[in-house]
Formats: sequence, C-alpha cells, structure tokens
Amino acid sequence: MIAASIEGPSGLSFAYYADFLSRVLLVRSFWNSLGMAAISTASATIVGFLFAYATTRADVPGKKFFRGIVILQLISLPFTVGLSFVMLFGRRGLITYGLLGRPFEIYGWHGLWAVQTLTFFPLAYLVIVGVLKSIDPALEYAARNLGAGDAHTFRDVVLPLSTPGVASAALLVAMNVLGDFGNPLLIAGDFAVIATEAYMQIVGWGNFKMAAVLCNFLFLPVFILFVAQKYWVSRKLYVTVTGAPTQLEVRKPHKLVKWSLFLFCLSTSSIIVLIYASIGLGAFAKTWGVDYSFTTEHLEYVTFQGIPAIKNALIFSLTSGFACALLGVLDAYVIFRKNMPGRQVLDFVSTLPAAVPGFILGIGYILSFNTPPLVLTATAYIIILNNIARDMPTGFQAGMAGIQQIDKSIEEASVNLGAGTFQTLKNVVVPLLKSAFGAGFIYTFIKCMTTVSAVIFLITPEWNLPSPIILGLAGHGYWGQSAALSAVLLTMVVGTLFACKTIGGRRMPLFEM
Amino acid sequence: MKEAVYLKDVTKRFGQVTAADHVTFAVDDGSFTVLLGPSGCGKTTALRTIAGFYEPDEGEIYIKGKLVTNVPPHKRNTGMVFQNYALFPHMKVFDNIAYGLRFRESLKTDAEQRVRKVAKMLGIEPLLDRFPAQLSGGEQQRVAVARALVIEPEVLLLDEPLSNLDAKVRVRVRVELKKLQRELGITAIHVTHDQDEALAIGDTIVVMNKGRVVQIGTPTEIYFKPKTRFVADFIGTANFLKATVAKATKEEILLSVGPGTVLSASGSQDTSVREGQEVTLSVRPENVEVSKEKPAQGPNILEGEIRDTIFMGSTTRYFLRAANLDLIADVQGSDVPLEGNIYVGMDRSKLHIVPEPT
Repeated sequence: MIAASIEGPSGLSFAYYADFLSRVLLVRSFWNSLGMAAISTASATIVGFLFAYATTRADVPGKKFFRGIVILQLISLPFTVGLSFVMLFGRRGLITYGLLGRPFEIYGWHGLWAVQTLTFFPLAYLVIVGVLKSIDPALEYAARNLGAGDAHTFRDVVLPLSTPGVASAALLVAMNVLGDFGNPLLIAGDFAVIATEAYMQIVGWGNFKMAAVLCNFLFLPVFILFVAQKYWVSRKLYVTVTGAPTQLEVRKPHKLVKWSLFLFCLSTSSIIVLIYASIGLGAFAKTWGVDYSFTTEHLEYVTFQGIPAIKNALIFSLTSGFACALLGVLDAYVIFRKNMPGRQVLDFVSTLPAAVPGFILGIGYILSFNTPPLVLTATAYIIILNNIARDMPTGFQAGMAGIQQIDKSIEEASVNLGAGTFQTLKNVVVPLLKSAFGAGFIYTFIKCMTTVSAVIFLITPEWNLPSPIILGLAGHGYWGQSAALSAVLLTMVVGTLFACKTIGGRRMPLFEM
Repeated sequence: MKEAVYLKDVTKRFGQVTAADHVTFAVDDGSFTVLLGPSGCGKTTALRTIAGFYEPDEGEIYIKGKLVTNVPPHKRNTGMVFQNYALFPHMKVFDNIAYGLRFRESLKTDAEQRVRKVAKMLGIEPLLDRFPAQLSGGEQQRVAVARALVIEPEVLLLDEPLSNLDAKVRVRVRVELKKLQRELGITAIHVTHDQDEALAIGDTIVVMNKGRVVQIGTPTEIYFKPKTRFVADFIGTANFLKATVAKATKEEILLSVGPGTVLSASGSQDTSVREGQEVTLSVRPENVEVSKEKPAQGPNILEGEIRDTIFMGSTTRYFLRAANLDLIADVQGSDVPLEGNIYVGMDRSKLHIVPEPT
C-alpha cells in the first residue's frame, strides 16, 4: 500500500503526498484524528479504570451485571453506540426531540467523544482488570501495617503498580479510536477524521491513491503506539517478586468510595442499557423520530433482505474463526515452546495486524489483489483472507493463553514415558489446547460477525454482509431497518456466546467470565 | 514481666469456617513467641488479627495493655514481615525501608540515618539503591525485616518469613533472627508450621490445632511433656503405646501395655491418673535405648528384634518389635549398625503419659 501511494502515472512520485498536504481539509482531518484519539483515550481509560477498580477491589454490588455490560459492549457491533446516539440524541432523537423537545446538536466532536468513550472503555477495562488482579493484596496490607491509611495506600501502592497496565490500556484504546470508522461516519458530522475522509476518497471520488496516502498518515501514529505498547510498556509491568502469593483477601475501600464507584458504574451502565433498548425499540417503531407506533415491517425487511447477508456472514465467520483458531494455536505453540530462530519476528508479525486499523487493511487488500498475479477483488476469498489476516492475533492470543497454562513438565513427562514428539503433541498437547482453540474460534467468530471497517471496501452485491448494510441504512436515515438488522445480529452474537459458555463451562473462560 | 500482647477469647469466622476459636494467649514483653501448628490451624489468622487485618468476631486484643480490637491496622504500630515479604516492587530498597517513617512524626526527622542504621544492622547497606527484583530471596527477607523494625514497632509480627528460603539459609537466618530479637529486646510473634524452627527460636510456643490453642509452654515442655497426642505427634517423632494404668502412686505409675508387659513411669507427672484409666504412653525415639547385651539392671527392659534400619547421619533409626510392641529407636553414632535380637530399655522419667486413650 505504501508502494501504491507513491506510484505516479509515470513511475515513482510523491505527487499524492504533495496534493494531500495542499488540501487544508485533509490535513485538518489528520489533526482531528489525533486530537480525538487523545481525549477519547483519556476518558475511556478513566472509565475503564473505575469500572475495573469497582469490580475487582471495591466489592460493589452487581459486579456480574457490570461485567456483563462490558462484555456486551465488547462483542457488539463496533458502531452500536454511534447508531443509537443518533437515535436518542440526534435532531429527531427520542430524548432530545421527543422527550425534552429542544434541539440539540449531537453531530460533531463532542458527540463523537462521548461515543468513542462508551465504545472503547471496555478494552481499557479488560487490560486494567488483569493488572489490578495481579497486584498482590499483601502489598496493600504491608503499606497499612507501616502506617499508611486508605488514601496513601492507594496513591503509593495501587496507583504506581497499575500505571504500566493503565498506559498499556490507553495505547490500545488510542489505536482503536484512530482506526475507528463506523462511529465517525455516523456522528462526527463536519468534524472530519482520517478514517471517514479515506472512505469518502474511495466511495465519493474513486481516488484510491489518495486514500492510500491518508491511510499511511494514519498508520504511522498507530504503528508507533503499537510498538510502544508491545515493547516498552509491557516490559515495565511489575511481576510479583517472590514465591507463593498470599491468600489475603483484597481489602475493601471506604464505604463512601465504594458507593461512589457503584453510582458511577450504575449510571454508565444505564446509558449502555438505554443504547441497546433504543436499538430494540427502533426495530419495532414505525418511523423513528416521527411515529413510534408498533410495526414488524422492519423485521420483515430483515427476513427478506438481510438473510442472504447474514448467511454470508455466518459462512465467512465460521471459516475465518476456524482458520484463525487453528493457526493461532499452532503459532503460539511454536513461538512459546520451540526455540526456533526468528521467533521474535514471528511474534511481531502475529500481533501486528491487531494494530492495523480495519479500513487500512481493507484498502490495502483492494490495492494488492486488484491486479495480477492474484485477482481476488469481488470474490468471497478476499473477505475471508482479510478476516483471517485481521483476526490472527485474536487466535494467537487465545493460543498463547492456553499454552502458558500447560506446564512444560507435562510434556516432558510424556516424552519421559516414551512418547515421541508427534505422539506427545497428539495425546497431550492437543487435548489440553482444545479449550484455547475453542476460545480463539469464538472470539474470532464474534469479531467477524460484527466487523465493518475491514470489509466495507471488499463487499459486493453478491457478497454482502450485515454490518456494512446496517451502516449504509443508518447513513440514509432508515433507522428502523438499521435497528432491526442490528438487533438480529446482536441476538445471534450474544446467543452464540451464551451457548458456548454453557457448553464450554468452566474449562473455557471467555472474557474472564 | 509485663504482657506485650494479649489475646482474650478471640474468635474469627470465615463463612462456615471458624478459623480461630476462642484463642487466648499472652505474649511476654521482650519474648520470642512462636505460633505453631499445621496449615489451617488458625495461627496466621491469630497473627493477622493482632496486626488488625482481620477484625475478630468475638474477643479482645491488647497491645501493651491498650485495647486495640477496633483500632485500624495503620494505627497499631505493629511491624509485620510477610511470608512473601510484600516488598513494594516499584520502590528501591531505601524507599521500602523508609516508607513507614513517613507516617510517624517522631521518626520523620533524620529518617535517612534511621534507615541506614537498620540497614547496617542487617547487613544490607550496599543494597539500598536496588529494586527488590534485583535481590536474592535472603536479601529480600532482610529488607522486609528492616522495613518492619525501622518503625520501632511495639511488636514484631513474623508470618512464616523463612518458608521461602532454602533449607540451609533458613537455619542460618533463624539463628540471626533470634539474636537480633534478643539484642533489640523487641517482642516478636512468629508463625510457623516447622516444629524444628519453633523449638530452635521460641522462648514460648503456642501450639494450635483446628482454630484452638492446644498447649502453651517452653520448647522443652512442649517436646517432652506434650499435653495431647496431637502435640506429641506434631512435634518430632514419638512412639505411642496404648496403655492401662495398673497402679498409680506418688513415686511410680505402672502401666500395662500388653498381656504380661508392664512398664514403669515416674510418678511426678503433671496429670493425675486413676487406676484402670486408659491412656497413651508417649516415648521419644531417642529415649528408647537399644543394646546387644542385656542391661544389668533397671526397669522397662524388653526383649526384641530389629526389623528395619535407616541411617540418618548422626543417628541411626531402628524399627523394632519388642513384647508385641512396635517401637522406633534413634541411636547416636553407631558406625556398625545393630542386627537381629536385641534388648530395649526405657528410662522411667522419659515415659510421658498423655491422658487420652489411643
């Protein structure tokens, strides 16, 4: 793609870069993207931290509910919040127009900020929960034993120890905000960001070259964040220094702190409940914003028009899920267990796609597979390949998590008893990695079902997918159909997760549930 | 001596489990007291209630005569050394040790000298600039002790601080710890499940089992005069013989341990026993004498044979069968192990009666 961006009509040329820099709007979109990433990252990380602290340390009531809310957000369509925010707070929004009866402008940077915060705080939450759980409660007891009160213990022990984790979470959120595409499209209004501008360049002008230039400008900061997260912050994580962890229970904070956190989580969760309620409501309301009478016509639309797309999504997600889980487990096994030369490189390559924003990958795929030797554009293969490339890290992470839990001595025991490498793999490693494979499959499946940015440039009328359809419908103001299709898709995804959770049980902890 | 710490009827429950069940004991000022028992016996719970990490469901805790049951941990001035040391990984050794001084107005001034002084005492002065992750287990343990001592605590609480050290270091460090405690004259309460450690360093041992205190005494009392079978069994190795009291006088107690076999124990036992009572006779292996020739005189001489032998370095352990009794005997420095038929002798004063049927 970098090559495509500098390829002029007659050989090498930086003309497109010059063109980019000369267009004020496009340059502004770059700074807008960075600015939005900065403020959204700050707010999403703070919300994520408060949620994590409340559920792991403060013993607030309703922990399961809050965790459920976070997981729902994680597996949901990436632009759910944007969609429902327009429906709730837009010009004809249920709350702003319908209930309060006063005009309110949700479109713009402030709307996008709120949406990005609610969309990405669960990512921060997941990372920070892991870090908070790894802090030995004995350290807090030690501080108190030496005379530190609640506030000092938090400031001197808990906060500094979780800082690297919080930084890691923030970088992850920043990468995702920079690469997010659906939410800005729906709610940013005149506030141009790189992702939407690149989309406009392609859809509006057919200017793939300029889109590639834009992508490269965005890719640079994302790449820096990725490298920083992987090689700098993760090194600074403190591991428990010695031996056996104490079985001390986490000390509960002051009642006032606990209930403030509870109120905060409750109000945030209420907004999210409201978001999904509006999607559900929208699916059955005749004309959102005008006529809220009950109808099933949107669902009927979904049944007739949406089913082929959903079928496609199922096919793609099942194949990609299977491939990613298998490759991920194998990849993790090789990297973790076999001292192979170049494993560092393999590790980097296995996790990099997670950092590449979906739409950049999508545009890259068009540019790569548009011309011989391999012409895949407008086929199903390009979508599946794209999914696999994008979700490899998900499978890899699941594989890694599984491998790390298998003590090396178990394999050694097998070899010691006379089994060869292949037999050890077959009789010991594979059975033990089944749950890692299952987890990788489910994570990838869910991501593929709801992905939008990576595939929006790759779909064709023949190989259409539900999430781009939803985005398109919303873009044209068909709120009912859009909400109905979202509701169906969400029900499927949540249903899948529940089913797997029930079948897999305790052996397969999904989202640390 | 005054009491530095006094637990009165302390009970702590976790859900259905009673971790500490009416625990009562007093710790003399300046003494080294060991809480000893198997895992889950309540010793750590007792220690943590003293530190204030757990609030007892019932009972009272006094430190230096002051009721502290409801005082939060950071106001108690107890210095604790944790099992895994709980050093702050993000602070250098110096800052770890100095941390507690921040909260003590009287010690804040010349904090640096205080840190250096205690570091010198423990031989960790060269390490002050390092992070905990750069230290060995033994060094970390010293830092943890320094951090607890520098705040001049009213009592030093040690929660199995030696269990993460390897065997040789452990033995060396426990001697140092005891020496340090004696030099400073500080009161220490030490939790362990290691009976050798308890016997080696304790002035007083509080033996606990299933949440209750079963015996309090000096190491020799605990070892030679266990009050219950549990104590005798938990501490060291003991021969337990099922016995019935045949005759009890002030001078002598005769015990029937099998058809036609009567052993004689000295009458000055703490416990009063009645004739006909079923008791357990406890004899330490080192008090079972083994010889090839029949001893000229003395009570409790039995004929028997050696069934098995284990060489244990300074001693040799014999598994014997004598007069229908299975006995274990430890014999000092026998370079040529005994074999076959032998005679067994047991000193009357070393036969200890536990007033519990086997």
